Amino acid sequence: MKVIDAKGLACPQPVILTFQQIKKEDEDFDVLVDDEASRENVIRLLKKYEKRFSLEKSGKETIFHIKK
Amino acid sequence: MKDINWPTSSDMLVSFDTNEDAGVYRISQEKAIVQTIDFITPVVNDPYIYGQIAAANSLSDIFAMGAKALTVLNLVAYDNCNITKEMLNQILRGGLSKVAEADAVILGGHTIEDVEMKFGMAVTGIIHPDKIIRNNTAEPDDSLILTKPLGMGVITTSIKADLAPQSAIDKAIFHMSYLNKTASEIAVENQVHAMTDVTGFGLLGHCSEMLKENIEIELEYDSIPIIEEAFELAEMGLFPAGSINNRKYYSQNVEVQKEGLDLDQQTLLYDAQTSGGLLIAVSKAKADRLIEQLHHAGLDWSRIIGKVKSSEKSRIVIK
Repeated sequence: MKVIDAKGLACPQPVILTFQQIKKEDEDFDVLVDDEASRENVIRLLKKYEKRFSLEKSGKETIFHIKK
Repeated sequence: MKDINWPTSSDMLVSFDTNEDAGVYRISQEKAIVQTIDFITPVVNDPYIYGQIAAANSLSDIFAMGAKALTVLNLVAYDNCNITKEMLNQILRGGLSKVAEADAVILGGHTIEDVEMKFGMAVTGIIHPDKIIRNNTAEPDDSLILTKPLGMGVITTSIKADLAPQSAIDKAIFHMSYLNKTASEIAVENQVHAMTDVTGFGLLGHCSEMLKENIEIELEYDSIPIIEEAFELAEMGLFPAGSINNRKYYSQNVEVQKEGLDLDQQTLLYDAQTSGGLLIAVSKAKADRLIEQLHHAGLDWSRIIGKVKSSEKSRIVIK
């Protein structure tokens, strides 16, 4: 499964990387972010594109599990 | 930095102990100089327009105090890997065009090399010491006026992501490069009580700076101008981190009473603006005339967005 590591990247990079993978529609994927703003923005993007996803939060880090 | 003993002088009329837009220093009974400095990374792809926006943004702090801009020093951090000499030339020409429009002059500047382009200006203005317009001197029953729409943070972030529609880019460029000079002059003529420019802290951050004991600010959500395209871009997660951080920091002062206002719509009120409009507190009796004059001068987006009320709660209410 593909993992997009967007830790340490500033907005809008995590959203851009997630958006590029959404458009491919080829496989389930994970996205890793490590700040609040990126977490909020990725959630917005996934809701806007009606993606099914779950997320795990540990400390500052969030892992999104996203269905293709 | 509270443990540092900064040198002081009785001629320091405004300094960084309050969150003002610029510092003010008295040089005679009739004259005080107003000083400010600001620089930004590129917010649009066109170098000339980036120069214009960076200049309008730097000059704005002078206008927010009700002052006249006199002299400018350019600040350039030059990324010579990605920016050609011709592009740098365009950036400087863009800046110069706005300095000329502000009736100010460029005396010089300084350039260093950097890994990321930055451009801005140190600006000196002039004002009568008794005519300084501060940001925390609004009075009960004042009306609040905003002279540019919100949404610039979301749109410039969308430009970085290459997801901004051309209509959004055009509107953001129009507003960000528009000088706050005319709006400031009209405000001064109308003896407004308080004024600031809406920039990095967003509308609600800058409203928070206007709060003081025994007043509250009531904003009418439907009257607040917001660039239409910003709503959809916000839904896509294109808020700059600063806008979300502003909400976390300032929301303790804010009470949302309007029903159905979702988190995106609320966060737009915290959206970090580049070269945003002036936020003006003026007596209710003068507010309609002020708006009429702003519209007449071409500032069509200016709106009365709320009012200042006597209250024991120092807070911002969104209705």
